[in-house]
Amino acid sequence: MAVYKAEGVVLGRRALGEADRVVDLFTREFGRLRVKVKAVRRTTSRLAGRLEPFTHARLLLARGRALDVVAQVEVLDGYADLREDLRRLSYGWLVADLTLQLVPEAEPHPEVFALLVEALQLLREGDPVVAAGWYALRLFGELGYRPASGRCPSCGGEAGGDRWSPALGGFCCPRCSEADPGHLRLGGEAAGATRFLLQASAQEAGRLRLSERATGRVVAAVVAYAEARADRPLRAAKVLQALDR
Amino acid sequence: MLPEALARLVEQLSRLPTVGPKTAQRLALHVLRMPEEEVRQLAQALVEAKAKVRPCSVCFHLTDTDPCPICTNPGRDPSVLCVVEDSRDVLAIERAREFRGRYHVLGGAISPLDGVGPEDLRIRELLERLRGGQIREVIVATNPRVEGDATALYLARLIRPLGIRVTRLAHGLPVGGDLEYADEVTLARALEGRRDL
Repeated sequence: MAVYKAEGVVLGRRALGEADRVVDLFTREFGRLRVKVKAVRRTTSRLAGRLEPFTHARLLLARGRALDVVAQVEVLDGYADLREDLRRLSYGWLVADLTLQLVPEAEPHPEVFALLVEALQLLREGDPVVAAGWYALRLFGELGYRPASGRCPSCGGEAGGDRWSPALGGFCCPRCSEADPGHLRLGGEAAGATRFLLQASAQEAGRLRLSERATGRVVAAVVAYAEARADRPLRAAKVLQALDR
Repeated sequence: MLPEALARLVEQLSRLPTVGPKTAQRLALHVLRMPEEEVRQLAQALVEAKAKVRPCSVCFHLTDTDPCPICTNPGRDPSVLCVVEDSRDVLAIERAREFRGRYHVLGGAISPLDGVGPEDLRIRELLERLRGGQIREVIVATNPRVEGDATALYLARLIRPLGIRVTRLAHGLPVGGDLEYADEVTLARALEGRRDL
């Protein structure tokens, strides 16, 4: 049987049949992959604890008929500490959902993989809300959806204010924003933070300190933007509102 | 070409979880070979189970009497409540014959990627039970997965302010297992939760 190796992060999974699971991975080499793990829901499985969401691992995969099958897993970082903090965990799910909704399957994106690993580190060490906001904004850029920040994407006019239009594609001018009923007023702090995070490194993002109100607005802005690009709601964002109180 | 009645049976069986078209055909042919009385009993059992089994109005475990026998058993400790995701977890814990308290079945775990949030689980009903004042300890026995952990953290945040002790089932190595094959997260948790001998 043909086997191959990959380094990946587990994004999510769902049950398949009696005791199997389908696992969503984001790999450095092959991009987003859906793979099968056999008998992983049994307590005797040696793989179960190694394929929990957010685990960063080296995997050995075997070519399968419909889905490739996980043969071996070596954990590089289990991010077990994310699981002890509901807030970090909640924003971790948002990061996973953004990746699942926006990145097409089986397209290699090594630069997105690097972003994802940096985002997990930031989720663990820094403000998880900033971490998720930073990841989303940088992800948009890597996938060719970089939000406009200086010039209005609709008319090319000055867009230096706080008007954010997910439909038009980022910060826009006052006149064009009036034409979009879905536009958001982010306020000065959140607008500044959004522009900063668009070009910030993970280290720079980790040093950013924001008021709770502004972080909330940055997240609302990126979620609306992602939903406009994916053309469907982010489920993790809906649950986030209930968890992050 | 299958006779119409048999084809209908195969079609119905193949709707069951984990039953593919081949297995459905095998099961259907087996039913045809069974004595008529047994087939009648099988059909009756299906209809009766569907008609009589309901979630208990107190703990939401499946039952054909309401409240369920566990909730009404005077021999069980009403001050300890074990919170589980699913009725199957109640059966598993009952098999261990260690727990003498009562249960609360949540009906799942928080799973944001599937759109399942706290309001989709029986958490409001749990808090109502806790406000009754009889319960001193809540054992959170959600599955040791990310979703189960998130649910446990969420419940702890709600229950602690009520002055009730909240505990979580221990994580560790399975009895009869091999240390060599244990995954890193389980081993780390087993070390954390080690006990004096």
